[in-house]
Amino acid sequence: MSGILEGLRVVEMGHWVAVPSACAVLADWGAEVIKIEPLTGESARGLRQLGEQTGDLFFNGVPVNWRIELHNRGKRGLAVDAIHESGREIICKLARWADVFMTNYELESLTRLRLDYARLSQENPKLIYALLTGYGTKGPDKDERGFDYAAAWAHSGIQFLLGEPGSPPPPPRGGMMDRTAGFQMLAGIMAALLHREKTGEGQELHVSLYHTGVWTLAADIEAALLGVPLPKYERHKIKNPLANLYRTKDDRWIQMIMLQSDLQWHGFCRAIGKPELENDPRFNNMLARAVHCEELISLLDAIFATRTLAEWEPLLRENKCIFSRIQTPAEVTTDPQAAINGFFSTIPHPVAQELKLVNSPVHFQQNPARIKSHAPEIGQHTEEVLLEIGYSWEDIARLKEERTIL
Amino acid sequence: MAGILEGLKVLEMGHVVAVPAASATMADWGAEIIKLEPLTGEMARGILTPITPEEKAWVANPQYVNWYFEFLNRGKKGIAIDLRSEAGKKIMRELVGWADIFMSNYEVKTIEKLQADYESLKKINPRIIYAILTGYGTVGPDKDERGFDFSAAWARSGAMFLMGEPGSIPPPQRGGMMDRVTGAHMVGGVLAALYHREKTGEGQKIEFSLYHTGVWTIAEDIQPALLGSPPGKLVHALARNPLWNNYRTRDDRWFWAAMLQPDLSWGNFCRALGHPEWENDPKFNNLEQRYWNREELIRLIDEVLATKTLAEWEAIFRANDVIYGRVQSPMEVAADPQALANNFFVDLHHNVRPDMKTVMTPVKFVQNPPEVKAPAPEVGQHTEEVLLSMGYTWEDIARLKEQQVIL
Repeated sequence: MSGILEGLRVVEMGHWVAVPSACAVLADWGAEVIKIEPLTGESARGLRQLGEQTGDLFFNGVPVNWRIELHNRGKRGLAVDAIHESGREIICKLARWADVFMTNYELESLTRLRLDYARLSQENPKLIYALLTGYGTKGPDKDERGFDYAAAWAHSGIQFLLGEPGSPPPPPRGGMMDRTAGFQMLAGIMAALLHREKTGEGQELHVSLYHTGVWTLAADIEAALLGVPLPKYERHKIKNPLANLYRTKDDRWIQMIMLQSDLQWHGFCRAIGKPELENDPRFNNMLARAVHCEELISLLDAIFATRTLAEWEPLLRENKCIFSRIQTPAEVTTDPQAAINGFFSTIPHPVAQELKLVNSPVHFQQNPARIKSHAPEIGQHTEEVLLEIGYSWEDIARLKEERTIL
Repeated sequence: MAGILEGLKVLEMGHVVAVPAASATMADWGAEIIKLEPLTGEMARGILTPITPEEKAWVANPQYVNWYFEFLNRGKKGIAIDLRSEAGKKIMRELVGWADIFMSNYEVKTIEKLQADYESLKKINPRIIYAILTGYGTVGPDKDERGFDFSAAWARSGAMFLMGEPGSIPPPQRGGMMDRVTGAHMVGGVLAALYHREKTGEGQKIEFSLYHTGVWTIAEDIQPALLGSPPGKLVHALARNPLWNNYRTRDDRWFWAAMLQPDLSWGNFCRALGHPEWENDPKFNNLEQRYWNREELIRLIDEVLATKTLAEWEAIFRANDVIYGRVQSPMEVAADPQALANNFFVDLHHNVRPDMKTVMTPVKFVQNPPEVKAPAPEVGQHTEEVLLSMGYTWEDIARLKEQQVIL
């Protein structure tokens, strides 16, 4: 069965994570993605761990640049020096070939390279042009460089609100908000493509990391807009103790999330082996539990500390509690629930023989997503792509000599 | 200018956050959304139900607006139907015939009971794009577990485990965060399926789970774990690249130093901190040396940063081209000139609170800009209007009300 976006043509002039990850998803969905990189490769190729692991992770005895593989699978790679006039011409030709052009280069570089929407839409008026910025295209900070840590996490309010009062505000994990912004872009592109089907018109669309963070945190921002910002969570004072986390005897944590706690109180009391609490007037309804939350939480802390996670899970399940263990990444990779739902794929790899990769999260039932191939080396498909868009072998030889391509 | 999705028809049988957020996004983009609710309204209408006396007083205020429900349901039409009745199921099936997209995050067993599963609906409308969100996926030992984003996307995925310093309490996410991330995945998926339908005429079923959303969101941690090298938590005092770290200022504010190509920024950073002599110090003058001497360097940086306020540092950082982001509070975001200049907040046009603003969705179409069309519907606000447009008469409507099939 063909991919759901079979036939769609995408040109990526992206680096780091946000735009590359969105284009990897488009490739998984069947689109033909051409990634344009400078001759030295894009920035993320250098983002390897330092110290004990200088270089890549070893897998099957060989080094794998796993971050590049994760975010660039299924693409063809083209290495072009866009500063050269002849390099710029190649990109303009590709814009004529493409349905979608995606970039997270700085707007001032794009303008300087004459690869902004105004120019590329002259090449191809039907082009969908998607631009990611750190902080938006207007305002005092429009030219600030923003990584997701800074623009989407620190600046949006997320980091401020996470963690206990007084504790250092926790940074995100690598690329979290980049992959989120990437999906916002992807959704926008799909909407613009549908609109183009109906009207024949192209479109320019912008997403910023900052706005992505703000939308992700929208409930808190909405409260702040009304002038009543919500406080940070304090674990020992959560008003609904059935929506709180508890530590087990083996130092694991369980996140409970029973938002309709009056419906679940009965089962919960049974699960923890304290049926007598059910009708205790201090705790027997939502208001009582809110008033006596500190007392109840310290009681529950003592109870949860008496059993291990493995002992608690079946008890909580049998009694229809809504919860999850706080899992480690290693546990995720061996979780039968993740495996059977298709969270991971194994693909052939020329160096490591095979490579296990994380699948993107949309499961089309009739036209399933599929990782087509491993990530390209820098410029791996330059010749192939140039031949396809009308360059001759002589042109290619000349471009190589000029150092416009690899 | 028309919204980019003008003419698109969406039937939402959603509750709480994820699916409502997805369809609110499409409403901002011009699609017509019919939200189908039970006669008592969906769960999210109760999220702000007051518990304490202070909360009760707040809700009693005539200017009170159920803001949580508002921002997730702006721009939709609301109809209230009892789907347990045959007449109610019939209305739902007729709406499926009308719709391009059906989306739901009801439990799968409930959907089957309501005969709203894909196999049933595709018989009514073979071109329907059918999107279903579960907590943990549609197969496997946990397929029927109820999952909220706190549990299925945040705790189970590894994100919560990895956050914060070692030994600290794992921080819960903020309300609805991963639901709204899932919402964006859903919008991307259903619109891709529609695009495919434009080309082929074929409908599609699409499955989403909160768990997979969480795993994709922290894929850069799951990926090395898949290769046998699970990552650990970040430790401030041991950051591999001290220019990619969290720092505290004199006024107890924090910022994130965001220099991923630190050799390019090192000179600027040293000058900004007033220690130009560090630039060529052989202990620190390149990436690897800073790694080996990171404990000492981070201690030195901590000491220097503790001598000035965040505002003082920001002016210095900007003058020296240091890449950073301040850790802002939501109140600061609400008043941030940068957020205002980029139209993050728009009027909701709410009659009870005419001054109320709501958070705009983050995709800005330049030619067909998104807009918030209207506040959220009351329970069943548009039931009559929608039924009339589907060919029901006022007599039918009166009868359905009497039978308590609709509100």
